[in-house]
Amino acid sequence: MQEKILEVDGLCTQFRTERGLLKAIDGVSFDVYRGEMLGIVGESGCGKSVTSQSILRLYDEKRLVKYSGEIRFEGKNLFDIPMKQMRQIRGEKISMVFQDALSSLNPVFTVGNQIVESLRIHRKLSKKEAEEKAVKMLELVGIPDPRRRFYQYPFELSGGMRQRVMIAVALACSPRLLIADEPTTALDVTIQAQIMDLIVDMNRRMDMGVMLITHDLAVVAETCSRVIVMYLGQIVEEGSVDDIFDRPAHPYTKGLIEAVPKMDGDRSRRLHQIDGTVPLLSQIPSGCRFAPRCPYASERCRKEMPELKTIGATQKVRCHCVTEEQGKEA
Amino acid sequence: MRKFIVKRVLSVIPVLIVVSVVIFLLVHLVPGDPAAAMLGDMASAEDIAALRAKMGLDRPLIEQYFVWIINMFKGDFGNSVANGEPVLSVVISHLMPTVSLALYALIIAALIAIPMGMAAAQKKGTVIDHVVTVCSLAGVSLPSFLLGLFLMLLFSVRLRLFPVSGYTEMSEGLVQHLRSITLPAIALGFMNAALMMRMTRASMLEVLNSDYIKMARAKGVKEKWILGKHAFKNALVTVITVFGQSIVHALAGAAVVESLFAIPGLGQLMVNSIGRRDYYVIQAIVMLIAVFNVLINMLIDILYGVVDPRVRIR
Repeated sequence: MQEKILEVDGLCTQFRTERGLLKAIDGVSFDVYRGEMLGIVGESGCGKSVTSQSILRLYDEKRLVKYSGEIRFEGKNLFDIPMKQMRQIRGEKISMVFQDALSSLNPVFTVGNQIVESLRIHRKLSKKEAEEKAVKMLELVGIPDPRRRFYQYPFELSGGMRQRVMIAVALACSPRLLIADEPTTALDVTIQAQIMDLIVDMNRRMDMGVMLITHDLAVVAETCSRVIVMYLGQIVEEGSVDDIFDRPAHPYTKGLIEAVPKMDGDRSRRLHQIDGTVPLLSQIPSGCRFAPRCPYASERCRKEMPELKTIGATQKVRCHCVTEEQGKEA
Repeated sequence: MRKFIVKRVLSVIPVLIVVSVVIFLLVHLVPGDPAAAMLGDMASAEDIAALRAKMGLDRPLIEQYFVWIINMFKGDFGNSVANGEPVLSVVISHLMPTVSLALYALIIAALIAIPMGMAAAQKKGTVIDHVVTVCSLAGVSLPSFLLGLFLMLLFSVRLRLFPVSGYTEMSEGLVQHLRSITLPAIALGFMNAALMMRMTRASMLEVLNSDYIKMARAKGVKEKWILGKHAFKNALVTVITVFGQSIVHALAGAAVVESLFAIPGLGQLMVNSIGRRDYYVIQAIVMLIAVFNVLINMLIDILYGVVDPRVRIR
């Protein structure tokens, strides 16, 4: 396997609220390797975005959030370094692309300006050099007539264009890790495919690790090599894309995969859905967190929290029902 | 951008026409006869009628209106009924104190309010935030004449730092001039400061929660740039609006504060002129304030366009 660029070890992210601390992320550990595309999937409210924003320490640590665990990047624990160093890593070594490009690009600055800013902060380029480089970045992400677009404002571009601009901003300093937080959710299907192609292309060209956060399993199946499935702030299953899609072990993963509509499915049948909704963080069930929605839940599941255990070469799962049966099922 | 400005400037014309008609009608339909007022109680009906004819008051209203408008364009606002002086020179002689006072009040307000509002937004929920919130609530609730009296009592009567009332011209020394209008400026500016503070805080809070601020942080932008550049430019639209309102408020509110501190400004002139039914002076002042109001609003609209590129397109 390739070198690890990011190691997340026992990450807990707790939010301070009026009713005490709420644990949004509970002991999440995973690695990201150089040049790989790692998919993180789960329903809304499962902690995918919180995980990614915790990596960059984007939450207000004085008032809002309490982190524990370790995030190691280039030999340093990101939670130990001062904010000044953290700022140097943000945008330079680890970049982020957000869901909605219209609200994530500053409406009152030109798109060129927003790429230049990144370059000026991290690369200390002169204004002229930074502008040249920014135009090149716009070209690289597939924006036609980049010199003209450079002087336009985000609202003057189409949705797909804006997402390309955001990718250009994120990649301006050739980061080692790109965190893409639902980069295609706000886009049309055709544009989605284009943007995913662009991300995959950049991933290969720049040899950077990509963490793709999404609830779109089809996108993960097509682009990623490994997948992490999250539920209520925990990893419930992880493994290679092949393993997870061919032999999903966790009932939640199975539910997610079955919930994807199929072209050749029986049209008269209702689409599959996972019963219930993701509980609030203040009402986390004891025992297995998925138990209240799980069709296979037993008494043990409701009382005792399962550990994340290895069940194959790449696959790990957090479920009491697996282990012995896994052999039979696979 | 040029097209946007031209469009905005042209849109002012119909507004001004309506405003001039309303002002003219208001003044002329209010009971009281300037000719009678000028000649005093002892005047005979014939004398009054003669003066009315001389002043053109016997002619149809519509004719009077056009005469007024046309003369105004020639720079002739008529003569004051009270002392026969040209209205223009009367107004100009009272203009300086008001402009000086309003400007001073606005500068004090803006210098205090904008940084305080920004600080309160950034440090939401802390002591600074609470202080700002309480101050702005007090500022909005406290009428300027009451605040003026308190200030007078404390700083002039007790501490003897400032004159109790009266006005010193700028030609007699800047320090003396500023001393004479400091208390009135605070009295006048406090409410505006309070409004500005609230609005700055509110719009900064909204902006600071937005995705593009998160994005800027994820890019590694320093916190002071996030606040001063990314957030402030977005919050500026609201701040400009409040600032524009404050300019208009300051001019209108000056009447009260000027009376309280005996400052011979436009506000005082207007109050006195209404008392003596000095038609031409009232018309001129109200028109001046209205024109000013419209121009300020126009300027603010244009500034929106400068700050926010999305406004220019419409």
